[in-house]
Amino acid sequence: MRNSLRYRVCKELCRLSRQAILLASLGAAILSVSIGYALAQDTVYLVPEANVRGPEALTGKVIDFTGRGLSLRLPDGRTQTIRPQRVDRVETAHCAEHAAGDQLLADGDFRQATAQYRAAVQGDREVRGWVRRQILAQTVWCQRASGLWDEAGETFLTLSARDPDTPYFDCIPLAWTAARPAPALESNARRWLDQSEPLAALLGASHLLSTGHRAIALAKLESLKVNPDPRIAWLAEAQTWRAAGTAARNQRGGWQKRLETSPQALRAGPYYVFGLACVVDKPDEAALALLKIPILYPRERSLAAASLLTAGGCLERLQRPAQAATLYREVVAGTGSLSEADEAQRRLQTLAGAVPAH
Amino acid sequence: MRCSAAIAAIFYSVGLLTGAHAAPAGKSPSIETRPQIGAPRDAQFLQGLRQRRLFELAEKHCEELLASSRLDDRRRAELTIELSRTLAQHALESPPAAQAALWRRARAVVDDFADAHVQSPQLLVARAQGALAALAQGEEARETAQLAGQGDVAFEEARGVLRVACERLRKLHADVTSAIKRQPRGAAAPDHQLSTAQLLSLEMHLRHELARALLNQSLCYPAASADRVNSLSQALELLKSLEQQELEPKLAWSVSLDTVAAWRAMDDYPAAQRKLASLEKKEPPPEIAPRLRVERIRLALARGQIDEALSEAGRSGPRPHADWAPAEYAQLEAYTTAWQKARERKDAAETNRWERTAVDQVRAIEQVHGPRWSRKAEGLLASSIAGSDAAPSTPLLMRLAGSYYRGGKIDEAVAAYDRASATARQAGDVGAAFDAALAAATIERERKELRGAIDRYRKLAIEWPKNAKAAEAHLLAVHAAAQLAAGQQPPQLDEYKDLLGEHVANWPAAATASQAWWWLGRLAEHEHDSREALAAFQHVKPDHPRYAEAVEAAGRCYAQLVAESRGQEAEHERLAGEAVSYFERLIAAGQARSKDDPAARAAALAAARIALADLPQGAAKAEALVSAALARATDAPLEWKTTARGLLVAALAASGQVDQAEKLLQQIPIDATADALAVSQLLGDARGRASGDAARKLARLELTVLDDLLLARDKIDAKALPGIARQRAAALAASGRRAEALAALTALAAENPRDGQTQEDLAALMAGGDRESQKASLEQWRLVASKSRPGSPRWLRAHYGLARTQLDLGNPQQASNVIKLVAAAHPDLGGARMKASFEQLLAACDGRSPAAGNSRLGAAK
Repeated sequence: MRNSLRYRVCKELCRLSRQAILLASLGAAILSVSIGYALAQDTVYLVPEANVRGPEALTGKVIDFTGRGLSLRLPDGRTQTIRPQRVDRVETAHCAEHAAGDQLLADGDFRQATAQYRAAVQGDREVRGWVRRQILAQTVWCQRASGLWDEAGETFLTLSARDPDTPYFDCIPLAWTAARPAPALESNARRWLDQSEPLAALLGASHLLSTGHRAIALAKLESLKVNPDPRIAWLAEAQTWRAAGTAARNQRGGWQKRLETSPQALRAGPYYVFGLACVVDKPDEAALALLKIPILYPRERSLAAASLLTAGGCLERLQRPAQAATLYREVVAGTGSLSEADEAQRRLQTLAGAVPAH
Repeated sequence: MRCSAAIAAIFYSVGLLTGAHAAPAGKSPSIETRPQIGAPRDAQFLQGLRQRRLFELAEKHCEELLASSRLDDRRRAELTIELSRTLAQHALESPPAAQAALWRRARAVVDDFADAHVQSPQLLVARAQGALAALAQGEEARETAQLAGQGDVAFEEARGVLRVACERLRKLHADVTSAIKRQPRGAAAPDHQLSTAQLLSLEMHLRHELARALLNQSLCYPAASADRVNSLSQALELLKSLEQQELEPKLAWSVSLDTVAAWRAMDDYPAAQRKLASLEKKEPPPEIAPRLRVERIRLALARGQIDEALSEAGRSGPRPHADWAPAEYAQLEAYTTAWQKARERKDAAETNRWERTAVDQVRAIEQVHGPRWSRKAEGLLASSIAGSDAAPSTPLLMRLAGSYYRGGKIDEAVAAYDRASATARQAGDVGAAFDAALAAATIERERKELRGAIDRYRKLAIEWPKNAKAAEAHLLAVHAAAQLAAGQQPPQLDEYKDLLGEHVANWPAAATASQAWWWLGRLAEHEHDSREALAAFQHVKPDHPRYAEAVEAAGRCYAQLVAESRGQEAEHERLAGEAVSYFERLIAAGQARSKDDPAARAAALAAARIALADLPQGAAKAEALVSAALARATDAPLEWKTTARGLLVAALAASGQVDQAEKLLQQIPIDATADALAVSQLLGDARGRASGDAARKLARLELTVLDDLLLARDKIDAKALPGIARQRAAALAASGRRAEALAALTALAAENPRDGQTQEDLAALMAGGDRESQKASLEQWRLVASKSRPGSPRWLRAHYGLARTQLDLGNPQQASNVIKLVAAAHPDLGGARMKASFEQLLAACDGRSPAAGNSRLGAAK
């Protein structure tokens, strides 16, 4: 009988029991994570320095990792600070969602990866600030790869607000090609441009350069060229190259010198602009500049695909169709968007059926 | 590439290079959770280029960096080594004919560095690269000789290269050993110098490479020969000495696997088997798996255990990583051996099965591992069938042909493709028969056997016209015919033209038809057949890349045809109207495709030119056409805009808007001489049709353009200058500056006494003057007539001018006599139009003559 006292007592007991089990398992999970994090040793791999002999890696517990340095508590209790330039990579325990996100990202499933990263930073799944910022950076790469540039911009601004010197600055979602932004992105870009925060303005100006707001974007970039943050100043300067038009040919020499002294991690987009400026009269130099992006900056997926396509065109101009086909096949194999893959496929077909011209 | 891997291992061991992991080609790069702070290096970039087989670019990059005088010694060494590695890998991936030069350069760059930097701390490492390049070349030569069964000469060549490699390695090894002995004990190495540990590591690597060189050398001698045993014994001794030392894990595995290979080459299979078994027990790391598989398969094959080899080889299919290429090649060795055995047993089913498997494996290797491994795999296939009396299948013959081609055996390649085509045809495989014949024809074209190529392409296209590539094949025959004609003096274009006709007749709807029509149009234009050219250009479809050029060419043809019809008024008007309507249709169609369509732009200019020059009241239409086109031309090139604006100037002027035209002319200085010439021509035409004040205004504008044009006379074709000067004189006269015109023409006539047109223009100008001038013109007309061929148009015009001037001077009888004399000698008087003019003039003479004669020219006769 459903209304009997016995039934109600049983039901209540069951409910309590389920709650207890749930609490117990949650507690265990939290405990295991906490213990795991507490007990796990992090390993910091170091970039070897010329003529300096020292360890290749250090173990301990990473307390924080920002653009100013990495604080590592060594097993003997001392804290060592390592310059960010010396940090090659950090091995640490990741929560399940973070690990799943990394795997999905490596597999090219960017939307699912984003969902996992979001889950990782929600609640207490990942509590370490420096790992949460790392997850944010990974999310920016995912959003960029998914074509969600407006979301990527917002995420990046959150990341930079949490660590203005972030070592993950290279994920900044700037526009480098002449593609016109989608309406949502254009609207966001206008909002960013009006912000006093220089990074937001840089983001906004970069995306507005190929729109009707070009003049105002260019003026903003000119002002950012003297920003005290050398990363912002450099990227603003390189963005203005996009507007050089036919004058680019005369300015290439200066650009090349500037590229050589710029921060290495922030050269992908500028290499692209430099490469484009060489396409017509120096196709081999153009190809070399453009190929640096897929080889040295593979995370710049869409820019890498665009670069491969353009470099392929350069190789065709140099009468090296087989080499061009190699690059087109690389695009088809998967670094770019559907439209880039389609274009690469079309060019492969054209190459296969090329009729010599008189 | 073993050499590349070896040198990389050496450099890492001595600390010259640090981690260089280029994003792999053709793979989605994994995204690592690492900040991108570390500096990407040249080595990483060059590795990426080499992975994509972009060797020329990698070489250029190295050479440009090496050209800088600011490089420090370490970086220069690093880049020199990278350049040598690139050249060596380039050689391995190149066809045999191109290899020698690349190998030479691979050694020379490091040798040059060594000569120029004798004190360099990196000298030993750079020399190691030179020695390894020689070893790689020797290994390649040995493998090629084994595959091709080229006999002693090829083996001797390989031995020669390997001998050099051994010498280099021995000398270098001795120098490294000395350097180790010289190294002060316990003291740290000075800056940039190799430490004792690094020197020791280098010594061990060099000993291993020397063992490999000896192992390769042994395989260049006959099996079981004393020379082979001697080389192998030395190699085994070195390998054994290494195994007794503590080695880096990667080097240790390599040494062990080379020991297995050496025992196998020594025919000591039990020793090889024992060694292999002991290695299996050591839990080999994943990167060793491919080489282990190679040794297992080769050992089983050497022992005649085919089933075991096949079991190890497993199923055919590619693994995308470059490290697996040798293992996949060893798999192919197992399949070809099984195939050979089945042939020997005359087991048809098994023969077919293993042949298919082998061909599939070659295809898989080609798809994944590129030209070098593809060439080797095809070579293995070719060598395994050599001497067999079995009839090979079409796919096999195709593979063989490909192998011959890549190996530089062109005659054999063509023969194999022909055989493949015939085999496929017999088997009813039309597609394969076509493909094989197409490949043979293409080889003929590539080696400039154009006659053979034309016949082959044409034959296969006509034989299989429905094949998807038939039209393309036929068009290649056309192209080869054009190349053949271009090499003849004078070019014989009949075959080319016939083939083009055949193409458009047989494949009118194919994508290639537009190309054929384009070429037909160009040919007809070259032969001054405007009508045929126009018809051809009109067949070019809008999707053809040269469609806009075809529209432009059609404009030229129409303009020519319309100009030729100017004597026949009705036809002229009809043709001009037809042309303008045609181009207006093209403009509308172009606009439907895009706002600023290049073909529509070309059509607008063509229509405007004809409207302006040949349509009654066409100036307004021309103005409207050009204005609309300019308004749409957002992406038009500057040259097009200049031409269009020039045309607009002429159209405005011709429609009476001379002031606007002048203003526009001031805004757009026409500096392109071709455009200025065209504008002046159009203004001249318009002036010719105008009269009174309008003609004077047009003439003044025309003079502005002509004077600007003559300022740039050095850019103008000298042959065009008299024509421009004549036009200028006419414009001067029309603008009221008759004296200047007369002076200019008189000077021009004196400079060009044989220029009939100038002499005629001078006569006409003088005849239009006062009585004295008219009298003087009589002599000039007679001069023109005497220098012209009797009956020619100029001769007739000169006599007409003479008669007209006589009449104007009040001598109707003399005028009438001139006309009658001309009519007696040339009764048709140069055609209907000229005859009518003469008749009118004669009637005028009769009207003013006191003794009125018979005005009918027929009666005069």
